[in-house]
Order: sequence, then structure tokens, then C-alpha cells
Amino acid sequence: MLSTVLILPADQVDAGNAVAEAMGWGPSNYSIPLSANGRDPVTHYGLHTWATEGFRDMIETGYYPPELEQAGIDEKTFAAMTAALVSSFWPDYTDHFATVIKESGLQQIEVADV
Amino acid sequence: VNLGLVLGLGARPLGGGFSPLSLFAAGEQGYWLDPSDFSTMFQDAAGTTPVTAVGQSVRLMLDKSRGLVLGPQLVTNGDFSNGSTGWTLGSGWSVAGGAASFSSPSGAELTQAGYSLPQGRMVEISFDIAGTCSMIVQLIGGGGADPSGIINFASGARHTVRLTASINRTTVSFSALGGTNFSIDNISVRELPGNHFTQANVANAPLLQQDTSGRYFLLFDGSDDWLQSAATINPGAVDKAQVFAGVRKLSDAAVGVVLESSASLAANNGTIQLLAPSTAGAPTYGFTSRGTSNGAATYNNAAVTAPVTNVVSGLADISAPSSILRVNGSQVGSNTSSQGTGNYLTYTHFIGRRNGATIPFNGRLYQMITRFGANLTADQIAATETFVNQRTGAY
Repeated sequence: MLSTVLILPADQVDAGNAVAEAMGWGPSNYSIPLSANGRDPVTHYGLHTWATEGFRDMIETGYYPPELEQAGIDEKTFAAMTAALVSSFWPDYTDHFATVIKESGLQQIEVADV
Repeated sequence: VNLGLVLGLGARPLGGGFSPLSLFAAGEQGYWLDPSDFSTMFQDAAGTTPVTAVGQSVRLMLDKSRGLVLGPQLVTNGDFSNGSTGWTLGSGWSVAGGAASFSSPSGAELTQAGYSLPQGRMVEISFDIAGTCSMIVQLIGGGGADPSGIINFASGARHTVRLTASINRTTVSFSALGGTNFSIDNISVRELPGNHFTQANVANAPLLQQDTSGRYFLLFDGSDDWLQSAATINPGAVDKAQVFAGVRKLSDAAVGVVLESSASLAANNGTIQLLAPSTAGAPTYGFTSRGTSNGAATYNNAAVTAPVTNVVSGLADISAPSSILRVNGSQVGSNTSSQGTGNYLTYTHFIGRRNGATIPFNGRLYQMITRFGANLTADQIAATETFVNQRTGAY
């Protein structure tokens, strides 16, 4: 399994979550709020997960899986989402998410009170 | 010997050793999560696909504090030996030859009403299928539904779906989707008592892994992994609590929530919280109990610099105010300042991330026992910590 980081602009998150749900991933996978300075407003959402090489190939080739059509997500919507998607696949997860968001000029939204 | 009965009684497992079941023998609320027990973990939130190997996501984890003993049968005539008695057949459903058969149209339901399943309870719904089908199994009655999602079933092994009632439910429903012809038989619906934990999303699910000593653990990635109780947990009128966790803390860089009751201890009364670390950039653990004000016990010592494996225990009492933090069987911190008033209150519990949103834990969870009930004796505490350590390998 590959350590996998995916990041989407906020205006593409609904599409990204719909695609993930159509693939059987559940409804709200993009759950890490991000912005350039770590403060509101949130500009992007990210996720970290584990995925197969087949999934990586699907992302990197822009393959349009049949499950999406069945779920009512057309190819144009999918293409717009994947065009905005930042994806990264590593063999190990250590510092993976932090590295990718840094390279993307993003920070996690800071939490004020523990 | 009926092993289920022995475990259900909860005193001690076969062999005479200590079992965490004994901590819940008087009906105390809480949970015991055990990643070394494959029978308690599933790759989907509806509990249809068991975890069978390391590297798989855990999206349903069953609580063992009630011994995994099923409750009484809730449906009648589940084997259709009495025809369709007790069942309501939607369009396309028929009963013949001791089974219910279906042939189009889409969405038609086979239902049975008449039982009472209170809000928050989980049921185990089992059945046999002849043929292949796509189906939604759901709990209904009282408005809306608690659905399984669309699941494909086929002949062969017995199928099981596990659903939690979001409100009081009265009816089980099998909703067949179009283009299929199949039959269903030997339907069983029984409550599975306990405070079970789920995760709706693949990306947020911890991963089952195994360390070099062969011990199993859940890996929380420090980004977005968590589990949460499938329903709120009502501790009862109790103001004492105990938490035992086998963890490996992989980083001290950012504060991590191992366990928190409610969306935030900082904002909610009657709560508990276990942090690893409790201070960003410092080798720490922290345990906090809150009646109406916080009582935090912390430990800051190079001995727990990440990466480090520990059995971390928190013992709390609101009315005789005390929060005690123990690491590897020894007390390392305490706080006897007032925690205000009241009991622990009814909340969803989160493991690995605050409210499923922030302060992610970066580390391994080998074992988790949380109990709301009278203070434990020194022997009980030591026995529980020894048990957790056997599955953690901390000391």
C-alpha cells in the first residue's frame, strides 16, 4: 500500500467527496482544512490515506471509472476535479502529509485551544 | 463449556487469568477495544467485510466489554417455515418453500416490524442468500432510515450486516435493487450490546498493523485518522472513570488526542481526555477529567520522548477531586484541584482525533479500555495494566 496524499481547492471538495463516495470510500474524506497562512478562510482540503498502485495509476492517467457515471458524476465534472487535484504517493507515510502541503504552499488551519 | 456464557459472566476467561471483562461485570459503561482480536474488526462501517490481514483499514471495531454476547432474537419466522407470517412483502417479493424470493422491481422491500430497538443500540442482522443480489439492509420506523449502503451478496457463506439505530427503531428492511432474482432465508436480528466504534470514510480509517514482536495495533497517521463511538455513550450517574491505553507515540511535534469524550473537553462538562503528547514539542502525556472545571495530570520527562511505547493510564474522580496519570504501571502525575461538580455526561467518544476534525494522534494503539464506575483497587489497576502491557510490550 502506498501512503497517499490528496489535496483539492475548496470549490472542488464537493466533487472530490462525491467521487470518493461513488468509489465506496464514504461521504467526507477530504477533512483537513488548509490555507496559505494556517488561518481562516480555508482555501483547500486534504486527506491522507493508503492506496494501491492501481489507484495511483487511475489518478495519474485521469481514468474515468464506470462507478462515477452510475453515480451521476459526468466526465467533465470529474476532469475538472482531477485537474485541480494535488496527489502524492510515497512508500512510507512519515512526514508525507506535512511535506506535500509545504511544497504546495499550504498549512493546516491552527487549532487555538487543546 | 459454553465459552460465550463464561465470557458473558465476565469474571475471568478460561485459564484463570485476568480479563478486562471483570471491570464491567456490574454493568459499568465503557468499552474495551482489542486490535489483536480479528473477530472484532471490519473493513466497512456496516460490518460486512471482516478484517483478515494487516494493512487493512478498520472502519468498525466492536467493543468487547459486554463479551460480544448477542441479545435475544428480535424477528419471528426468520426461516419462513410459517409462510410469510410476520413479514410484509413489497412488490416483487413472494414466500414459498421456506424462503422469501425476489424478482424486480427495484427498491421493493421485505420488512418485519414489531420489535423495539432503542436509539444507539447495534444489531447484528444475519441471513442466507441463494443467487446474487444488490441490496440495502436498513433499520426503519420512527422516521428516516439507518441503511447499510448498497451491498452485493451471493450464495455461499452466511452474510451479516451490523447497523446502529440512530433513533428508536421498530422495523428491519431488506430493500432489493433492480435486475436481480434471488431468495433470502434464515433471517436473524439480534442486538450486539456494547459501545462500538466506527469510521465512515476510508481516508480517515486507522490501519491494522503488526509490530516486530507480533503484536497488533491500529496505526493513526497523525493527519486525519480517527474512530468514534457509533452512538453517544451514557456513563450513568457516575463521577469516576478509568482509562487504560497501550500506545506507541511516534512524534512529540504536535499535540495528539488519543481519547476524548465529546467534541471538546475544553467546551463540554463531564468529560475525559487523554493526550499524547499533551504539549507540542515536549516529551509528554496528559490526562484530564472535567466536571465543570478541568483537573489535568501531566507528565513531562525525557523517558517518554517519542518514539516510545507505553501503557498509559488515567484514573479520575470528580467529587473527591483527583486526576492520576500512570505510565508503565507507575504513577507519574496527579492533580487534586477541584473539578467542579456533576457526573460524566453522555457524549460521542473520539479516538485519534478531536471531534474527527483536529489534533490528530500520530501513533499506534495496541489496546484501549475505558470504564465509568467506582474507583478500582490497586490490584485491579495493576492487573489491568499488566493485561494491556501483554498486548503492548511497553515494559
